[in-house]
Amino acid sequence: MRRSVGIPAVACATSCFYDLRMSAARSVVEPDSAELEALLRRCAQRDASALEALYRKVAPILLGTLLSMLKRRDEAEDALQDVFVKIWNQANQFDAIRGRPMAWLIALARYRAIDLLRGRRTSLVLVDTEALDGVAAMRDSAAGNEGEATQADLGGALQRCLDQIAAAQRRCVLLAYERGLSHAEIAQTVNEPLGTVKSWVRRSLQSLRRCLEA
Amino acid sequence: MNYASPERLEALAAAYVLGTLRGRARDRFDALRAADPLVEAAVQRWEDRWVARTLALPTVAPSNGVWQGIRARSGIANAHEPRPGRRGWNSRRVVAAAVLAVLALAIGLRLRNDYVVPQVVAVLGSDAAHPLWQIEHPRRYSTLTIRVLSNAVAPTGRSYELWALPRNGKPVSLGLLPGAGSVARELAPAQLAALRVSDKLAVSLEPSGGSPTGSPTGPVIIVQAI
Repeated sequence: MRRSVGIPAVACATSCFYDLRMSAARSVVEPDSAELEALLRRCAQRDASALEALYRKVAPILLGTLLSMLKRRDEAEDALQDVFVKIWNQANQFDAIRGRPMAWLIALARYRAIDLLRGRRTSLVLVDTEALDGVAAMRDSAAGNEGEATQADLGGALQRCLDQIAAAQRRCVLLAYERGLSHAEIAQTVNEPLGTVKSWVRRSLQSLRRCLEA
Repeated sequence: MNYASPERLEALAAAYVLGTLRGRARDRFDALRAADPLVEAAVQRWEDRWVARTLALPTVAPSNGVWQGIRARSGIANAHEPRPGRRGWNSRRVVAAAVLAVLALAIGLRLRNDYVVPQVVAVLGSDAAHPLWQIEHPRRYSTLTIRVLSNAVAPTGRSYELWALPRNGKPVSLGLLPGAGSVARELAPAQLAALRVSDKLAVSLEPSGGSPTGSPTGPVIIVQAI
């Protein structure tokens, strides 16, 4: 059911910008883990109403991530379908012992997007990224400085630890996590040498882990 | 891949979850994840660390057609309009439906002594509580009658198609299933022959007008013993 990719990069830079701006809602609190686990268990028992309930709860969150990475709404929605078909088929593989269901669901969506980005032309990604940076800047400036206010009530520890990383380096890590950019794409976007970007990202992740485990 | 040191494993897991581990290195790490619980645990710790950042992204409401597409692709599209709170089918219900159909057939055979028409071959539905179609095929006749028991409209641009599943051989189309009312059609000799050696019927979701290939191409939503 995949649609072909035929829209020129420039057209998408405008339309995707529009999509994000018009339909973006405020950030959300994490859905209750016990409830998500119960829904996943019912999905594993082939209860279709549980899949629908799960969709109502998490689809807007997952589509936000997919759109941020894939930029194009049609592709993001196709990927969202892939993700939910996979949830339906693999719900029995979610093991509650191993952790938060939301982390598992987000990972399914992000890894699907990363797979799709692999086959894509670099130019498309870069043109769109500029438009999206504009959206992010609008969001951040509306909320205060550098996203602080939007983060205040969510994941305080993660944001505090991200804030300890120098701004230029933090930007590289977030371009990877939120936009799905590769090292090479980040290097072009921030106009730094590839080797520098790689070592910034590596060291930022180390410092993030040390900070979160402290 | 060398991840002998815990530091190396951490770095790889971090890059994998971030998405900067790409290409064949990513494929290899995927395989390691599946094979080694230590690797999987390192990945999960990183997935967990990042959740808050995803939740801080703007949420986006999906378009209306997305859920219908998921239903069709997961094989749970058993009716056009989902009723809120309606349960889907599961294996227990399918077995219950099969038992009902066999009972109906057995009772039919016994009471009617095999020569009274019409004879119910199968009741097809998403589960025992939601029968959608009743299939009748009197022995020694070549008529197939399909009665719609409850609203069964296919998604826009799609059709439900009925198949006989011969014990040995490929599915044979018995035509499209109506969304309302009832239809009676004469089976072709090949369809009749296939039905006589079939012990199951199936329903698949096909492009409008039916499968273009002569075999099921879309999701099979019902398989029912006859």
